[in-house]
Parts: sequence; C-alpha cells; structure tokens
Amino acid sequence: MLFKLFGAVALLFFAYAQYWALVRAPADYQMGDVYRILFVHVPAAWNALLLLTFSFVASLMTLLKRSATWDRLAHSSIEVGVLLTGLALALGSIWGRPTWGVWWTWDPRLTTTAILFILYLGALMLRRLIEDRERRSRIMASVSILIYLNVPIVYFSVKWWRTLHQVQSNPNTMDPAMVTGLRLNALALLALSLFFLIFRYRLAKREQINQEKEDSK
Amino acid sequence: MLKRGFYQVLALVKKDLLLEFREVDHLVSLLLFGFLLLLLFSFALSVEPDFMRKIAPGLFWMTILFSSLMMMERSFQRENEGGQWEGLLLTGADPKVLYMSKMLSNLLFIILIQVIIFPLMVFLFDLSLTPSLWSIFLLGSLGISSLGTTYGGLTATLKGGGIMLPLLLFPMLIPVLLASVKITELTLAHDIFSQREVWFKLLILFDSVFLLGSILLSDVLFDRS
Repeated sequence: MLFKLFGAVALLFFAYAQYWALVRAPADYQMGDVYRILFVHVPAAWNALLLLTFSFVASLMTLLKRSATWDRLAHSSIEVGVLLTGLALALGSIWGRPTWGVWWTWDPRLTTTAILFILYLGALMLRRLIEDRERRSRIMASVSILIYLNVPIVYFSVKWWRTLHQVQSNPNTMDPAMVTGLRLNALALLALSLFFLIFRYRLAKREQINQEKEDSK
Repeated sequence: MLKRGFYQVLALVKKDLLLEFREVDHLVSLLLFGFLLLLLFSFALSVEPDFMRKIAPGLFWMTILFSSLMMMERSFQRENEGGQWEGLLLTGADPKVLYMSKMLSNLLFIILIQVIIFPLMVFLFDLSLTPSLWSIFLLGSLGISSLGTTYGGLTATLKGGGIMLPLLLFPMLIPVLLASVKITELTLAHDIFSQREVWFKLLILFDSVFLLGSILLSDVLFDRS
C-alpha cells in the first residue's frame, strides 16, 4: 500500500515537473521551444548513470557477500538503467534532428552512450541464458563489473578519436526557471526510477519464489 | 607457490600448443579465413590502391578480430568435450593458472595469425613493412586475448552461447580496436607528429586493467562448481 502511494506521488511529482518544463520555463533564445525535450533527456542521462553506478556497487556486493538480495538489486538497477539510457538516446536523437540537422552523429558522448547501451543489453541477454541461480549471479556480477570498468576507457578512446555534443550549460548561464525545471525533473525522474527499481526487485523476488515452488514439485 | 603456478601455466600452454599443432587443419583454416576476409574486403570496398592503403590498418585489425573470435571459441570447445575442464580443476590447479595458460596460448596464436596476415597485406595492398610494428602487435593481441579468454570461457558452457561471445566481447574491445588501428596507421605513415604516445598509453591502461580484472575474476568465472 505504502509502495503504491509512493508510485502515485512520484507520478504526480513528475507531472508537476512537466508543468515547470512546459509552462514556467521560458523559451530558449536560440532553440525556441525545441529545447524543452532536454528537460527529460538530461535527467534521463543523469539517472541512467546513477543507476548503472549503483549496479556496479551492487555487483561488487554480490561477489563479496554472495547474497541473492544484492544480485536482485544489481539486476533491477541494470534493467532500469538500460531503459533510461535508451530513453536518453532516443530523446537526444529527436532533439538533434531539428537542432543539429542530423538524427545521429559520431560524437564521443553519443557513441559512448550507444556502446554502453549495447554492453548492458548484452549482459541482460546473457542473464537469460544461465539457469543456475548461484552461477548466474556470480557471472552477471563479474560481467557488469568488467563493463563498468570499461566505460571510462571507452569514453576517452572515443574522445581522442573524434573531437557536436554541446558543452553543458551551467546554472549561471540559464534562466532560473529553467534551472528549477531541470532540477525538479531530475528529482521526479529519480523518484520514478526508484519506484521502477523497487518494483522490479519485488518482481524478481516473486519470480524466485515461483521457481523454487516449481523445482520442489 | 608462485613458482609452481608458473610451471603449471607453462605446462598447460605447452599442452595447448601441442594439440593445436598436431591438428593443424584448424590453424590453417583460420589463416585461410583471414586471407578470404582480405579478399572480400577488397571486393566490397574498392580496388583503388591509394584508398586501400589508407584503410588497410582498419581492415587488418578487423581481420584479426574475427579470426581471434574463432580462436577463442575453439580453445574452450576442446575442454568441454568429455569434461576435460573439470579434469583440470580436479588436479587442484588454481583457476588463475587455468586462465593465464589459456590467455597465453590464445595470445601466441593471435600473434601467429598477425605475423602471417600482415606480410600478406603488405604484399596485396602495397604497404611498407616497418619493424617497429611489433609492439602494437603484442599490445593489441594482449588486449584481445585477455578479455577474449574471459568471455570465451564464460560463454563456452552456455546453450546458445555462440552468438553471445561476439555480442559481449566486441563492444568491450572498442578501445583496443581504436588504439591498435590508430597506432598502426601512424606507424605506417612514419608518425611525423609523434601522436602515437597517447594511444599507446590508452592501450597499456586497457591491457593492464582487464588482465588484472580477469585474473581476479577467474576464481569466480572459471571455477565451475
């Protein structure tokens, strides 16, 4: 009950953040209204990074503690993180078309994000192939640790390879209403992501109970 | 302990080399596959000598990457037939030792492929052969084999793992591919502005991070309990 309430509040909060993004924040002096997509694009990218970092910590804990709880947390955070990464990529692409004139460009940040997306999707596919729970949790933890270690290296290599993503704006160069809108959106998306994370975690727990029931039959 | 591990690694590498050279057909087909890829690339892209010379480093490393993939699959295939891997584990060998031996024998085979394929490319695409390429051959194949062995061992036991190996391995190897291609390109162009340094640093960083990471994780990944 409490959990459902949390989900409803997160959703309402997200709607309120959209009011700031769509109504209160002024139009950009160069991009006009097109830029408003960034109110979701940027928080999606931030939260994706946050969740994937959390999955790295959870993977380390899985290996150290050998616990099913951390394994489920790692798995859930990777799933939600991949979802957010895909969202950031899609929204960025939609924004890039009118602004840069192309859907896609081989810029370091874009390329790195796409590689990250594929790496974690691969890990999630691998997960489906391993049936033994104990073994699966160990392999998944190792693979996601390796992936997380590789991400900064991929970033720098791609950066040296191609040196159009804009330099980030900072709060000083933005209208205060824009800053508020962005922060509210980041928080709202964080709340929603947490809701998804916990939801997925509970689902994983039920899946396991189901599995155990079937095994004991 | 360290000394014993060293001898164990040597013995296992020797075993792998011996088996592979006794049945050379796989090695020969691997080299033929590399040669075929070179031919296919030149048909698919262009036959203009200047253009081919320009993209030759990229083609070379793509060829090596695909051939190494087949090498990795092969190297664990044999161990899975008749539970030989479990046999190795039963001898009491440390999983780290098993990892290191597989990594080294894969490394040697990748270098062997390179040593044969590269002169072939020099001949076919009219490149210049410079001896200073040996370091990039070594570092590039170390990167490929350190991660390739980890993932190869991981996917070898899975049903439907065949397609998972390139899917997991190739995106991880993007830094190695980029750095190796860049260094080869610059070396062939005599590296007038000495831009190679930064790529070398990246490659060494990659190699050491993943060699160390794989050794640490080999206890988890290679011990099939």
